[in-house]
Amino acid sequence: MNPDILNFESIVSAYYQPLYRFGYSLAKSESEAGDLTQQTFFVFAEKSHTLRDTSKVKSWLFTTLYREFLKRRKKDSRIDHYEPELLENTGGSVAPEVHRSMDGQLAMEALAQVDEVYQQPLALFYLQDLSYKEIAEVLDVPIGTIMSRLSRGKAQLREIFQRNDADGASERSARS
Amino acid sequence: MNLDEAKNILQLCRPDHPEDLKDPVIAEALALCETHPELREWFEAQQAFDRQIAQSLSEIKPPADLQASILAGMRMHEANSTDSADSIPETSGSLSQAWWRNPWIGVAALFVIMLSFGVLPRHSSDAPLATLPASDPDADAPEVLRYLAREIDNIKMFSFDERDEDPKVLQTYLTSNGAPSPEVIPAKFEHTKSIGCVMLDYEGTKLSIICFKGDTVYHLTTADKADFPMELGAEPQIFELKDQAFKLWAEGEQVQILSVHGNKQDIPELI
Repeated sequence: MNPDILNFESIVSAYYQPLYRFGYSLAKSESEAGDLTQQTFFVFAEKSHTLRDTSKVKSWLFTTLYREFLKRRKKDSRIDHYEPELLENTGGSVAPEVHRSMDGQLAMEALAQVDEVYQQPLALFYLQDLSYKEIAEVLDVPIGTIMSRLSRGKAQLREIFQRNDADGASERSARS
Repeated sequence: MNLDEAKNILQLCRPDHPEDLKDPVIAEALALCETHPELREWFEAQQAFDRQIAQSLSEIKPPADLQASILAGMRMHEANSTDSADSIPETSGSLSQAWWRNPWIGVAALFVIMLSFGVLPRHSSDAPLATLPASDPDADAPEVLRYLAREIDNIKMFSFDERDEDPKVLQTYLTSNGAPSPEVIPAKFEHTKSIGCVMLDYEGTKLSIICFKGDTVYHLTTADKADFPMELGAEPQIFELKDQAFKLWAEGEQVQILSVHGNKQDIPELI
């Protein structure tokens, strides 16, 4: 496949938002999420000719973003003792003018409290763009593992929301 | 299939995605809901919970300019990868589809992208001197070092042109990009990991900096001696400027400058 610009535009239009959200759930940084999304499409532009099955574009994009994130984390872990002011400035090129609703932010914060191993499958599940089989493909783990991680991750998430609700209720009664 | 197994499987079902209900494994678990009201009740509650989370996450919006930024990058890529066959003159009817193939627009787009990545401005030697104090105690320091001090202060992780722990990789990168690459790495740093390199242009003189991660961060700047805008003494020269110390010396046909945040006592013996 050698996509022309129109084809590319439609692919960008269809997937840049879910990819950004997935990037944000991984990096927990607005600028890095934007940068990961851009990088994913850049890799797509470079390598899309190797993609023979066009029905796999969506999984391919999510897989690429996930691998790019892992690659960066690996690289950053080798330099994490470098001058702190440098590490504070690893953001991408996109201005961090993200419009997040309070609900979206709370949901993302709750996701971040779940054990790390459950975070990626949960984020992909709730972004709703991928079936469980595709999630297994993107994360390169067996379907059975995805099932158990989703099940345990959702249980943790539910507990977190219940705890947060209880904390909120205590604060409200303390104020009144 | 017992009820616990069915619950595990039903967790895979996305709310409002009817295609998931057609999945044979999910359909089999779903069939149990018909005969087990408690399972159906659990499933409905689970779907409601999932729907709520999914809805909340969907409210996270990317930056308004992200899509345009991605597409500009694509246009740049297309314009720069267009082969000669694509340069056949277009008919007027195809202009609307062909504008992005124009290599000059590609160059312009490249410039815009580089600006957006913050690559270009720091390479300019015309940067304002606002970061220097009004009464500079090192006013007699060579201007090229004052320029370097500013640039080094501004180096951030994302501003490296290339990042690698192996200085040889960075040397190769600099050479392949037409920048001065140190022919000799000082012995002190032979077994020190590098962090990254930056290419600079000081009033037409190409400079390169390789940053090393030792007990602190060291910066090794290299330039061609023929282009270097100051006279070098027979012996290494040491300067202190702001909060940095610099040591300059000639190495074959090159000039090397080692610098560190600190004073001259912090510069290791190299020669």
